[in-house]
Amino acid sequence: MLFLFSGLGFFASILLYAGASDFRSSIQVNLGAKVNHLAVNQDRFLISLDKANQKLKFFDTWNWRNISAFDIKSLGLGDTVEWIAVGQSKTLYLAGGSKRKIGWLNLADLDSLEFGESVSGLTLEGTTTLPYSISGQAWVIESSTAECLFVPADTGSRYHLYRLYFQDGVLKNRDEYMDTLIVSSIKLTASKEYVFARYYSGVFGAQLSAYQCSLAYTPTVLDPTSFPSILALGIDEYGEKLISSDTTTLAPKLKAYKVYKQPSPSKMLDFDLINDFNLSHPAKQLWVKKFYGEEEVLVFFREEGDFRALSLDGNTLPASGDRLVGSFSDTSFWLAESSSADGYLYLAVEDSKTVSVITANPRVYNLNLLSGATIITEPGGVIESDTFRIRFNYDKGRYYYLADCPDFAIKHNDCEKTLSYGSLGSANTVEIILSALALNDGKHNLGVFVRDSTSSPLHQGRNAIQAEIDLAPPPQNFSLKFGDEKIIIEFKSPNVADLAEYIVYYGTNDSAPLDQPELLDDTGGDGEPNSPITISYPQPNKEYKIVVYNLVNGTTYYAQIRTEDKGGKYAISERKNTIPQEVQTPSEMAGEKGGFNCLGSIAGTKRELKASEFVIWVCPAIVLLIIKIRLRRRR
Amino acid sequence: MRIRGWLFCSVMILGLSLSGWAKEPKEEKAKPEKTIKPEPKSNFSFELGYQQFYLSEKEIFDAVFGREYIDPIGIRFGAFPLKNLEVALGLGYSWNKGVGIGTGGTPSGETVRMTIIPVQLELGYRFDFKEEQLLVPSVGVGGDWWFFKEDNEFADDVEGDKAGWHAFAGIGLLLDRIDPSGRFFLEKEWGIENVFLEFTVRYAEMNTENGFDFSGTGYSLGLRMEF
Repeated sequence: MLFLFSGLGFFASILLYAGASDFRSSIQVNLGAKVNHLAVNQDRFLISLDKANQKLKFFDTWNWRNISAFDIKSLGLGDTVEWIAVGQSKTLYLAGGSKRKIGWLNLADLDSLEFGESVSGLTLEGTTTLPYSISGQAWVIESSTAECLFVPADTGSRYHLYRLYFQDGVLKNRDEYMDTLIVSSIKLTASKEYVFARYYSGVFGAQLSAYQCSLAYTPTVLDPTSFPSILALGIDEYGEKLISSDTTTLAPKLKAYKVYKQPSPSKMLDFDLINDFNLSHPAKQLWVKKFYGEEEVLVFFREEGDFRALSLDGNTLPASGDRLVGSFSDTSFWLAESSSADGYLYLAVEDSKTVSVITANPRVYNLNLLSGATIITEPGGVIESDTFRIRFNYDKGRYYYLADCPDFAIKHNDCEKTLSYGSLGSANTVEIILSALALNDGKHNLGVFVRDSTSSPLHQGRNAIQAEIDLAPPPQNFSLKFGDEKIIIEFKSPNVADLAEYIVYYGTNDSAPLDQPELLDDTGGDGEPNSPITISYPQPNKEYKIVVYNLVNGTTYYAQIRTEDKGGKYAISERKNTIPQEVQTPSEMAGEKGGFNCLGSIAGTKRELKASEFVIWVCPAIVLLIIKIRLRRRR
Repeated sequence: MRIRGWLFCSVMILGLSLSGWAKEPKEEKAKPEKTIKPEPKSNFSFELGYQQFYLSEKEIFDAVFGREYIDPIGIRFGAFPLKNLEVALGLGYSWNKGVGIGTGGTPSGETVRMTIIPVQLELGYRFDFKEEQLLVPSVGVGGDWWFFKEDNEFADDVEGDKAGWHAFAGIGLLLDRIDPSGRFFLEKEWGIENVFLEFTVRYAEMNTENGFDFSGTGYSLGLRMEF
């Protein structure tokens, strides 16, 4: 069962983090394939590369479900694909062909994947071949009009940096940097706006340069003397907090720098060294991340096999207080994140099959439809019993929301239609009974959200499940009203496309069983039109009005509607009653005969002007005439 | 044919009134300068307003339409034959939907729609003596002719008219004082000298010989422009 976490073995709750911050929850996701690269696209899809099997694995973090693997051998990128990179757009970059051939493909189709659907039809949008092999991790940044891929390449003895400039998925420009500098080592990191490269040049020594995704931007060379020897560097998304792992001294350190733009009109960057943080062992990898709903910016670093975290105070590293997040083997880590968008960080060790999810958000798991994924009303079933139950577990949080989400748009904001919400107790289990009639026929993506607050900033866990509703819902707004020797039946068809017919029964036999409305007209269904009245293939979302004439005033009439859909399922409405009787219009109540009495010639009746009306109409004229005469006399 | 006679009178009144601005009054002898300038004479006025008119005989309307009043929107054209003396013609439109009432007093399913178009010709005086006077009271009287049409879903339609008279009292708030720059624009571009927020109470006595009684008291709020 794809929908069951336990069946897949995706989640095993492991307490990895118990620091002062609220990052206690960690979930392990088994991707079922080795992780040799990890990325997050659209703040939703976790993508990993399995080099050995040449497969891309996709994992939907909005509903915590695996999507089937995609075989990348057929893409035609040479013998093997060695790395992947993604930015905020829907483009995935891959490199193969001895790491010289770069291809890119569009991930837009992932948006419309249904539950359990496979990824298929991914084809390369284009390729380009670099003169040298790619070395190290590539970075993707974007501008308002373009997306750029920065790729370090290795000739065997020196490094180059390439910038591939894309617009709308088309490669428009390729720039090469460091071609004359005799660069012997290079490390990259990136904020949203800049890629920072620390390199060691035979010409200038250690340098730090910043690059933008703009054809008009000239790379900034920052202070060349500050980075003589580093193992790793990282920067926050806003490009202000730069952290390096320094190996120039016997005692390994983290160093914090504040990066800032020089006063306008200069577009150059500058930076200041803030302080150090002593380490037991050199940090071989580091990242600077901020979580949605959190104030602090965190420095994550790998110290041998330990993955540790340290809170920044502004741009300053604390004197102590680094916290162990988890211990792994001493090999490369892959970190991918949508932390600033929804508070999730994904960590995998090279060649492992599991991804640790680091988050302060509540965890929502064991989400199940207890009535099964397909809910169909039983033949002859009573409408009021057409309910289904949803159950889920959570590890923390105070409130839950269950919503009908259109097109699986399950973001950290609410989906459009909230079906249920409430406060959470201490049982860690919630079971909700929902009416299937509240949902129209078709597939529904039901999102469950657990929050620790009702207002921002908040931590929100999420999960989702799909239910298919196939009901013959009774008409909406069903009413039965009386007239003079008539009854008026009004209702509205729901927005359901597969309605086959409405059969409207009326009559005076109240002893007819509720589920046999055809017996209502045994004795009294003698109006015009006769009972039953059939409406074939009713239009969805339409208001219907049926008037039955020639009935007997003072007699109680009953009406019910049977709904049938094209699949043969049916539902019977509640029974309503009314008594036809003489009806008075407002004019009848007032004794009004009508006619244009005030404009006598029109109505043909004489009109006598009353004294009061005479005064009203004529006096103003007299007054005006008097005033006019007096004015003329003055002249 | 007497009705034609007083209709003729009405037209004459209007005609005489309109001739008022054809000639400017003689300039008066020079007087010593005053610190308070008098309000210049306006020639025309136009008002767009909304009214809630509470009927004296409210039971029928309340039962059929679920409320005791009609709420016409309306326009009113006025002319000043003399300074502060205004002759105005107003036209309103009100539409209500309800249901007929059964013999047991309960609402039926038979729909009734009622359209009422009140037409009013009135003579009013505005106490507007100072230039840029913030609050301008007004009083007046006038004649009424109301057209009504009752559209019944299952019964015959009924239409007709009613005549009567009304008196009114109102007060206008000069909006130019609140936004002088807006006034400059309106005067330059449209020739609008003053803009008022006008609140008026009208008491109407309508013909009640048979049928509907549209007598009552109306409260209206309008935007009034003077040219």
